[in-house]
Amino acid sequence: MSLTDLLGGLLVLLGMPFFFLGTLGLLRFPDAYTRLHALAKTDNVGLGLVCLGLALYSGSWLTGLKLLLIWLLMLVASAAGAGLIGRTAMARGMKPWGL
Amino acid sequence: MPRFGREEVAIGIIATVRRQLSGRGLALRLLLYALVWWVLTAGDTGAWVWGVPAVAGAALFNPFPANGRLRLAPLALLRFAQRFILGSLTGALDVGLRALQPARPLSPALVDYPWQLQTRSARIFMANLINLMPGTLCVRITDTAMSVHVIGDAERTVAGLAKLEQLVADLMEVEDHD
Repeated sequence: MSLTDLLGGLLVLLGMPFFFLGTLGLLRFPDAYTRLHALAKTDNVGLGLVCLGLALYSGSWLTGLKLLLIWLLMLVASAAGAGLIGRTAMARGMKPWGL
Repeated sequence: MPRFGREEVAIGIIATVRRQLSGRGLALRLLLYALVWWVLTAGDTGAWVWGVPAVAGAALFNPFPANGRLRLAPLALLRFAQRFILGSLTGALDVGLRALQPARPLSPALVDYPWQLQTRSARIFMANLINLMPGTLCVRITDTAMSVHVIGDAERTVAGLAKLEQLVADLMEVEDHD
């Protein structure tokens, strides 16, 4: 096992708790807005670390580029999705918890 | 949302395609989308059977015509990337720790944040961007401001937004000449 393999595996392992934290927030937070906070932020970092780790692990720059692209496209989808749900909830008069 | 009849949609699409065909960005878009396809299919030559129509279609039916010139500013991009990575990490850790604590500490607030950005594309970029940054979620966009749902210290968050907005302006907005 080479050093890049080890580093790649480490980054993947490091990314996984972020998905756990995001899901925990989704389950524990009180309303749509706060849940969106939890998911959008943690998925961003979680997938970023996993993709970076896999890119190192693959050892191919083309695969690395593809993983980077997947991360960027997921960021766009995640940010836009959170925004759409948040704005729709607000437009339909859903009151934020605690306000 | 305004509703359009079928004819109006058809006319709209034809007008868009015409504009895109004559637009200067067409060659650049074709090249960029072809590159994206090439990367996604990992250079598989057989995939171009689908790739060519997909690339051409995406380049011609681009529903968001750029209303500003794209500026190549490597330094601004670098500063932005640094801020983005740092913001992503602190944002994820912040919200993660809140989820982890038994008391689930959240102090939500709604803040109206008046736009400093002038162009539509920069504003949309910013509104989406803050959904990934620490403690902010865009819940309304108007011509003068966006409403931001904040968890945590509202004052500090707004100060952070102002800094972020400046970075976006450096990245996307050319000084206005009109």
